Amino acid sequence: MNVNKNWILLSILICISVFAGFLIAKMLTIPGLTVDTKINPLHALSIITSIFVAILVTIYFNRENDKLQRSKQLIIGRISAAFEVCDNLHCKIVDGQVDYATVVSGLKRINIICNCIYNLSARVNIKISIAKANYEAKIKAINALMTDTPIVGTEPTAQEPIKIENGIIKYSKERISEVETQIDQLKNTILELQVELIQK
Amino acid sequence: MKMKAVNDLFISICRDFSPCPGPRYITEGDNSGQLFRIKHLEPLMKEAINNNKKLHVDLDGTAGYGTSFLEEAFGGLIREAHINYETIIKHLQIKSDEENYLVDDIMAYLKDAYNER
Repeated sequence: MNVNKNWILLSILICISVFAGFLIAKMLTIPGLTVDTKINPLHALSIITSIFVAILVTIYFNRENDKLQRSKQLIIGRISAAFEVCDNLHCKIVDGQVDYATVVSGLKRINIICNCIYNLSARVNIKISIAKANYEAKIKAINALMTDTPIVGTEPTAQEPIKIENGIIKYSKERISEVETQIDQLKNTILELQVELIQK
Repeated sequence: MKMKAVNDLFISICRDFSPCPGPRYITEGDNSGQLFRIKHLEPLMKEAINNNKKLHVDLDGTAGYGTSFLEEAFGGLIREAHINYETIIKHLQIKSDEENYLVDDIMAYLKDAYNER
């Protein structure tokens, strides 16, 4: 439907251009300038072909640009989803205790979404300068801080930074602060990714 | 692509243990790394070693893994089950398409457990 509309518009545009050219040639009299009323058919054909090619190229590039913009919007939507999960984790850690399954599933979701962003970007030939390993390292660091309990038999510290009972993790104030810093850094990386995609 | 022998041993944590792996110790919560090691990983690892087979562990499909679950399950093979590091490396094959860095992490946990002995 859209393609047909474009062709109708193109035909109307060519007709208007030819008619306007004819009118100008008939009506316009500028001193010192003579307009030849006889048109060489070869020149006319050349002009029409040039116009036709120019319009075709414009339509092609517009369509490609449109595809790229839509893909970018979809990818940016996924980035927002990753940011939301990150934000959700951030809110939960502030309470000082969180369900174990919530932490691991949240972190896995962020990782899968980020992987998806890199894969989709590669498919539509968008190059991302932020290395994949960058956010992976941050997710790993958060995972270790939020879930890694000490091995039995290791030297106990004055205050355990993390304790798990019945699948609920409780954190010390120091650990909460460490996790918050790491989550902030991950959020910054996700935002950088979003800004980079918007600017491309 | 690596070929899998027909008589190799396979385990999927999601299918054969739990879709929601838990913390490190049984005392900390359900579906712990310790429970997985005692119930599944250690017996299968020993069977693979004794019969000169490979044990393929599939990590995909679960809700996610905490660091302590994987460390206790795999590092515990050396620390608690006293299986030789080189023997484990020779007979263990880990698959993780969803979070591929987990394979390197597990190798690091095994190495650390070996170095700490």
